Amino acid sequence: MATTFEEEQLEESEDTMEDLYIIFFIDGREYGIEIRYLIEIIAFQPVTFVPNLPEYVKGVINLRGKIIPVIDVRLRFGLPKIDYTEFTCILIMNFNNLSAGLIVDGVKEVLKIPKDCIEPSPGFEEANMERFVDSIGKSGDTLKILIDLNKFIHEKDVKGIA
Amino acid sequence: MLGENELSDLVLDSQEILDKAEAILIQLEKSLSESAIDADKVNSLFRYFHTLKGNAGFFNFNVIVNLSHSAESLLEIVRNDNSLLDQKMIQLFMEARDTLYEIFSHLNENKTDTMYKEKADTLIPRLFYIKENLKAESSEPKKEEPRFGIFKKKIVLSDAPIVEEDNKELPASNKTTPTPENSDTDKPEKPFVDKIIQESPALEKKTQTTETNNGNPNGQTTVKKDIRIETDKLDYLLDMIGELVIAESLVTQNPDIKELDLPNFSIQSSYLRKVVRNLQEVSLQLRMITLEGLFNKMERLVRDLAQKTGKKVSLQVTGKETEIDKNALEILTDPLVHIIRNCIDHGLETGKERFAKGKAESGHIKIEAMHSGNEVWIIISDDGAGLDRDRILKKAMARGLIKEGEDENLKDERIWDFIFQPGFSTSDKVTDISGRGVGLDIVRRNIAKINGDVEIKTKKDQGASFILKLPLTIAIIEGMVVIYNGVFYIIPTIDVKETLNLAESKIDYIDQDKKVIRFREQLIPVVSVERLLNHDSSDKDSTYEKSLYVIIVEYKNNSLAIVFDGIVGNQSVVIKPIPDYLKGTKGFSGCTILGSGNIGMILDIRFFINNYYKENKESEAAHGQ
Repeated sequence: MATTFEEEQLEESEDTMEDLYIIFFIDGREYGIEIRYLIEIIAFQPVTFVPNLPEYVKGVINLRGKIIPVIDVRLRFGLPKIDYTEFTCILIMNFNNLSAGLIVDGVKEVLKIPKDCIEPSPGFEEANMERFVDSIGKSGDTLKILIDLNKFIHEKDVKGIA
Repeated sequence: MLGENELSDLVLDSQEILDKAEAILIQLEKSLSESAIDADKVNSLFRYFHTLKGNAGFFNFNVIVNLSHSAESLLEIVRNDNSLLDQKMIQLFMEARDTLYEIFSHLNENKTDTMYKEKADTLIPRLFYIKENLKAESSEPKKEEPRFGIFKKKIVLSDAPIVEEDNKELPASNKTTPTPENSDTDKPEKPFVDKIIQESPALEKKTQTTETNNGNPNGQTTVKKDIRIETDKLDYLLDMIGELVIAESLVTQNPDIKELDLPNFSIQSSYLRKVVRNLQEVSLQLRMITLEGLFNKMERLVRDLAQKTGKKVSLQVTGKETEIDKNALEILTDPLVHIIRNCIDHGLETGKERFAKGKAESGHIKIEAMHSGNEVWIIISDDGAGLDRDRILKKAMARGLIKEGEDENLKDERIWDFIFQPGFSTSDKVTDISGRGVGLDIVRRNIAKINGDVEIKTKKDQGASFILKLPLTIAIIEGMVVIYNGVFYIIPTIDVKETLNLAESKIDYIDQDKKVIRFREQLIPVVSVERLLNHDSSDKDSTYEKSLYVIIVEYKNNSLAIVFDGIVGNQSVVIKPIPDYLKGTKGFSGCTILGSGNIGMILDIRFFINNYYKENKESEAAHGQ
């Protein structure tokens, strides 16, 4: 069974996955999410629209028989919509048994960011994005914005900001 | 050291055995009055406790071992002479069974059974006491003194290390009749034991025959024909088979080969299609289990409640073999418990009242299960007082559910509906069985969860019936696939009354936000899916001009006409749960993957209709003031 196998693998290699982040692009910036929540990366596929959802939830996709909700990260950050390109990817995440796909502009790499290279967020102008920021990771001379997936998935949209 | 898996296997196995033991105890209790006691049942019961003892002993769960051993030793005597079995003993076995069940239910977390020692120790001496009494009775009247001696001794014994006790007691239980050697520990007993053996050679013979029976055919009944599979794995298998069905049609209907003339290919692919469909059918049957376990629990419940209330109740159960989806079964337990509690506590009158009404003293409850078309019906009926229209009306008025003067015209069905309201109870006093008004609303809620329906039929002083109408499987529904604004929706066929082509029927505009359609002398409100999902009149201005069809849906005599752009057709669809992340969205009872690989949303039509008419009533009331 693939899912349990993945989970097992996840548990076994938990140690080795420490400090690893999947780095992706949104609007030219680089963001990171802890890789232990990542199940797989798939190319963008058409999303079935479901009425009456928050704007950033684009709908659902069929991933090999499983129906998975998809969140457009740009819209969640309050950024303008752009057309999906050949680089657009969906990151399939599993957070506490809750599956969700995140639509991102593109995926860059898997990166190791040791704990001593992580600093608290200096604060961003974009309030909508900042509330999901956990910390800032330094790698060489670039900065990666590390996302708090729990807040990203669960936090209710504040009317007026969104 | 035992592993996590072995422990949970032990727990599952033992709980299964205890469930069987419970069913047998209930049957035995019934047969007490009928004089003929089924020796096979006593034997099975003996075997169950013996198996439990053995399994638990392997893991060194001494409290379980001691308790099941005590029950086993008492059964030892009973199975030699079935006529010894009485109500008190069955009650005691029942308590022992319940205690064991409790220990096992918590064994996974606790990893040990020592905290139940005290509880078990209150039962063990009682079991021994009866046992010793029986031994005494079957020989000659016994003095009080030695009995007490044994009594004390046994309590001490249960404290002793288990290996020792096993050594002394096990040979005894295996040989079925106490022998002088084994009674060494119980000196005062010895002469009587000897007497039993001497005086009743017939008894000994009999036990020996049962023993041989036991070894072969009866022992096989415990051999398992089934295996346990994690439901996760099963669901995954079903998902994959669903995907296989889609993949099969994607290949065989592939546009690349559509134009080609491939006679051999089409023969083989139609064979493939047949195999895949069969596979799908079989896989769906995997989820079906019989109602037997659930009904057995209900028999126990009826028995316990009858004892608690002091009412005499006879129970008739039919249709145990009816199969239903596993998930539906789990959801059904609570509703059944609440209905039966109501039947016994409120429905059935006391013996005196029944006598005054000219009814048999003992109340009668019937639980039936049957297939009816695409549904399974479970009917629970009693021959009690029936629902009291006036009392329910009074209560409904007091709670503001209806207004003064409105009561006269209300149909009976509407009135019975009130008892499903949360917190609704007509009972004047709260008992520990029912009367708090929680309960029946669970019935309605749980049954609705699996797309079922509850009906009540009642006649004053003749009784009441609760009819639960459930879909055969909650994994599949027959649905009409429609399309609106590019999204596929599925409407359960059971809710569809009529489909109309808008080229032939016209929508009438009453005012800006009210559109209706005339259908068989009736004016039915016309709405869109978006309007229903948003619960406001946001599509006031929409004229539905693009839409080609309306589908008239009906539930409980209320109808709605919903506009759609196109109708794809009727088909059975596999229901998948709404992803957790979208749980907050109301109006969908699930989603599905269509043959084309597209996702379709299953509309919760009954929710829409109830909601629409509730809102409208509220807004009318607001206008009236």
